[in-house]
Amino acid sequence: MNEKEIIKSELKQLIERNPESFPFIAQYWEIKIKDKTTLEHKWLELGKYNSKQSNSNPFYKPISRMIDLSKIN
Amino acid sequence: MEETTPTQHIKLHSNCIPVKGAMRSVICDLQRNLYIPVPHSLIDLFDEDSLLNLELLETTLDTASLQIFSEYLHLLERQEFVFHCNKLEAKNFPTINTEWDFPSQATNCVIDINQGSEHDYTDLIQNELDSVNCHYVQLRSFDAFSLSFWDDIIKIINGSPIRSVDFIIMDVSACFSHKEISEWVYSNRKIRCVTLHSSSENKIVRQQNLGFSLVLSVKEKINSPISCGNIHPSYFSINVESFTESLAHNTCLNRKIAIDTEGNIKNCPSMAKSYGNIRDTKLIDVVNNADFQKVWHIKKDEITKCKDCEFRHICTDCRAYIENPEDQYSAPLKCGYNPYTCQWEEWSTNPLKQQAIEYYGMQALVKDEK
Repeated sequence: MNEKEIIKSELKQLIERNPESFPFIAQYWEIKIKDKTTLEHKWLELGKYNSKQSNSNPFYKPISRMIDLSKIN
Repeated sequence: MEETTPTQHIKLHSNCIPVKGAMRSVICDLQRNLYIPVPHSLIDLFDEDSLLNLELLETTLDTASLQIFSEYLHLLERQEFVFHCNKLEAKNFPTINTEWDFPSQATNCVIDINQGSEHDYTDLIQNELDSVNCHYVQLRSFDAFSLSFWDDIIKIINGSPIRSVDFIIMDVSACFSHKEISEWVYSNRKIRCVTLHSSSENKIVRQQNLGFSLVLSVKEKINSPISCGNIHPSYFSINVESFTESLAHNTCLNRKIAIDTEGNIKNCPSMAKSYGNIRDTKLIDVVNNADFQKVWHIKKDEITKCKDCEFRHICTDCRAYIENPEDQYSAPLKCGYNPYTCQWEEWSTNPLKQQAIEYYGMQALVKDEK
């Protein structure tokens, strides 16, 4: 049994032994063990009150229309 | 008495809104960002609640018309523009609120840059744009700048309330390679799109990822704001925000603020009138100026040609370059669509536009484009 399977098995046993510590649906959880990654999620800073967001959103319409797209297509 | 048994009605989804033009209509799906052209006669079958009684229709239309209608019904069903219901159920699906507002005094800003520009980017981005809650910016450069110049600007943007930024940059191999610019865009996630102009070929340098990090190169040479104002289906924005804004406001200039290469604050960099210079004038004072706001309210339903166009509420406007410079309600000069024939034509060769092309000094630009 590899390390991931051992961790998975231990987690299942933990859920079985302590059902009151987990949601009632926990017995049906499909457990996946992920590798630890060194990549950190890069947050977008919004400049005030230490506010951050994970993803940004583009403006809902073109800000200007410099490129004549009909020539490209 | 209300109907309680299911009857054959169809209703347009609330986000699917018909717009009538001179010769045909379009149904705009504001949720899925698409539209389909349909004849007026189909739209006329729906009542003011976007409801159509199929049973009644079968008794009133002749066989040939019913055959045509069934094809259109199939189209509407396939696109999921309509759903079947009875009259009682239809009341559970009210029309969407078409009121428009935005939590910013200025929603978007264009900043033009050339070698002579002396903008204080830190003050402009961190203080001035923040004072008007402007979170969407486009920087357009007409001269060559090194990647470190753009990197200094993006560092200011990365730590500011700006949500997304577009760059229009001159493509000069001596300043950066396409690989370098792609990596730079990838590591700065507020960048929505970088367009490299004056490039050797038209191509997608880097594919977009979730609406961001797109890098395009185009052969077109952009050396002044005169290149702006193009009208093309690729620029259509089919969403609730654009559509509802269009009903009561100008689709290009409403709550837009622009800084030209010399720092003059304008409605649009292509317009002549300046409301002060960024060196000594606060953006908040300009945005609150009633005179500055006048053009915000020139809506499509008032503009010649646009008011007869079925695309008017999904298309952006241009008030800087218009067919008749003496008439502020004249049609955009760079629009080649004819709503009376439903054909797109080349605008620059239209004989009726030549006088305006000369007025704006666009002869060289038009010649280059041919």
